Amino acid sequence: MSKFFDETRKAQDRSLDQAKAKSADIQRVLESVKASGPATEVANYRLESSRKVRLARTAEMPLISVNGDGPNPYTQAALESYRALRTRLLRQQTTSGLRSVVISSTLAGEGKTITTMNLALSCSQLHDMRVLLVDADLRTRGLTRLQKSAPGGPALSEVLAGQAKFEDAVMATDLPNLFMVAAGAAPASTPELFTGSRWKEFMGWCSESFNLILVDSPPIIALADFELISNACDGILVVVRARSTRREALRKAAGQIDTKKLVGVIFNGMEGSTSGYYYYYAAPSYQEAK
Amino acid sequence: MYLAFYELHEEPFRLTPDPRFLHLAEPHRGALTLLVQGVMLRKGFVMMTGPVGTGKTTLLHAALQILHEKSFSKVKLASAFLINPTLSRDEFLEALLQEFEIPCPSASKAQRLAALHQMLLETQRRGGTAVLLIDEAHLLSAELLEEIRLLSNADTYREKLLQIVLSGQPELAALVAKPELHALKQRIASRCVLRALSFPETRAYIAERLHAAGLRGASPFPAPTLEAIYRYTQGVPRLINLICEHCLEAGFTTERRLIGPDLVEDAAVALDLAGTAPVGPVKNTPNGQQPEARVPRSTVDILIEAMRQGRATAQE
Repeated sequence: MSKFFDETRKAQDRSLDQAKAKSADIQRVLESVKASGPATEVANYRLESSRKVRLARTAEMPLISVNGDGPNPYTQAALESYRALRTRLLRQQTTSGLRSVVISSTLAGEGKTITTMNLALSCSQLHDMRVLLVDADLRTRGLTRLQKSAPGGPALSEVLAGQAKFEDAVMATDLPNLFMVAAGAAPASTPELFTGSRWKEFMGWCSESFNLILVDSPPIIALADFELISNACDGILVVVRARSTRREALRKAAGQIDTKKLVGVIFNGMEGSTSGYYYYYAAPSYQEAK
Repeated sequence: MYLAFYELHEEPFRLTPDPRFLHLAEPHRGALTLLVQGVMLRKGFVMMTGPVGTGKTTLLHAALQILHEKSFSKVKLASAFLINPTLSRDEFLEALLQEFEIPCPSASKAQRLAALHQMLLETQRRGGTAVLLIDEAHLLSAELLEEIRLLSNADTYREKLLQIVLSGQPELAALVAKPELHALKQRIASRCVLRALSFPETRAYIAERLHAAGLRGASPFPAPTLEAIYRYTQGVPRLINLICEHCLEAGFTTERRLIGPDLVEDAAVALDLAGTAPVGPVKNTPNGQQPEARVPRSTVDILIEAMRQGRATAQE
């Protein structure tokens, strides 16, 4: 028999025995690669004494639905959709290196706050993704209202007014990798707060501390805030609602968006239960801007 | 030395492949995971490509170090690291035996190959892994690439005896895509692509390195300075290290704890980077080359199409 063949065959038999021991080895080695990852120590140092906040979400579900529904076919479908959206967003991040994304819609009530929150919940479930939610909608304060209890203390408006340090405004949520900045008390004129250099500086500071920053902003049309807010962000996601968003409004909104930053359009389609102004959940299907 | 002046323990922008002080930027961690995983899972060929200065060699060193230190605690990893692959077929084999420390008195190719194969089998018998890393692999001749592929034929049915990591500039991908190297291309089990950092990643990278070097107070690089650094380096890690190091030294000699954009410009001139910098402020757009390619149509079209498609599905 060929010496080469014979020895190769013996080696193969041995390798079967070794396979089991190896997988534990591999796990251990890959852990050590992860430990040398980026933006972990700066963030740990900056966030070690963050205030704690609890989110109003149903117990085990990484999804917010305002009716407080338990798992059902609608929520399952929605969960899947958010995971698909997460995959697309993270793929974009891998190729282009974006860190901060502002999420908006043409007008109020199209689902941007719920989308932002659920996308953040979905992303923060991933291993070593540190996610920050920023409620930059100082008028409606939708994200802030999704807290279970308001712990008080400095928030975004205080940061922008120069009355609080960046790290003091960041709160740790009850989910390990998810952090949040509340809107704070609404001042008389919000656009002015975003005009100054504080907003840009704050977003720069955030991109040093978090892998992903999702910013909930006021609607695109009719308010000056969106443009000022998006100037300091790397990407823009637009939420479009089925049978609700008007073409004219879209056209108008499109004129106000920096197309180079447009990451994609989230289409809020299937209607589940609708109640109230902002609050419904819907399964978004995602249209990538390609 | 500027260390005391900036309250640092060590030089922040000196790279060491020691995994404990690696502090890789975002794109690099994924690449390192793929490299280590590919070797440990015995996938055979792993290819890494990336432009000049993005950290390929550093990653190869880091991967090898991690594999040596962390894996197979009792069994030695057999490794060969070729840093200059412009060799003939015979020289290549000779270099390989030298790197693997295989004694082979004979210069006959058959004998050398047999000695190599023996070593591979022996390593595998002890539960170890043999890995060959080739840096600057885009300089490999087609002839040598074919020779390397033939080496990989020393396989068992289940897994590869020799793990081969090819690392090189983006031309490597084009080289491997040539029709005559089809057989090699098929064998590449995993590919990692390195890219330059985006502006937010550049910021995070600089912050992380300063922190690792002991900085606890305010950064000596304020936002406008960071923008200037990105403008001149375009996010290439090697250039970021160079320019930041230069700035810290210049700041020390001129006694400026806070480094202004003017010092970045001086550094860029001194390092001859000034000619390549595009003018104008940094847009917060990630990674310059991406956006144009990504958004070919107008926003209105995209938005409207999204809406139309949504309507269609909603009506079904």
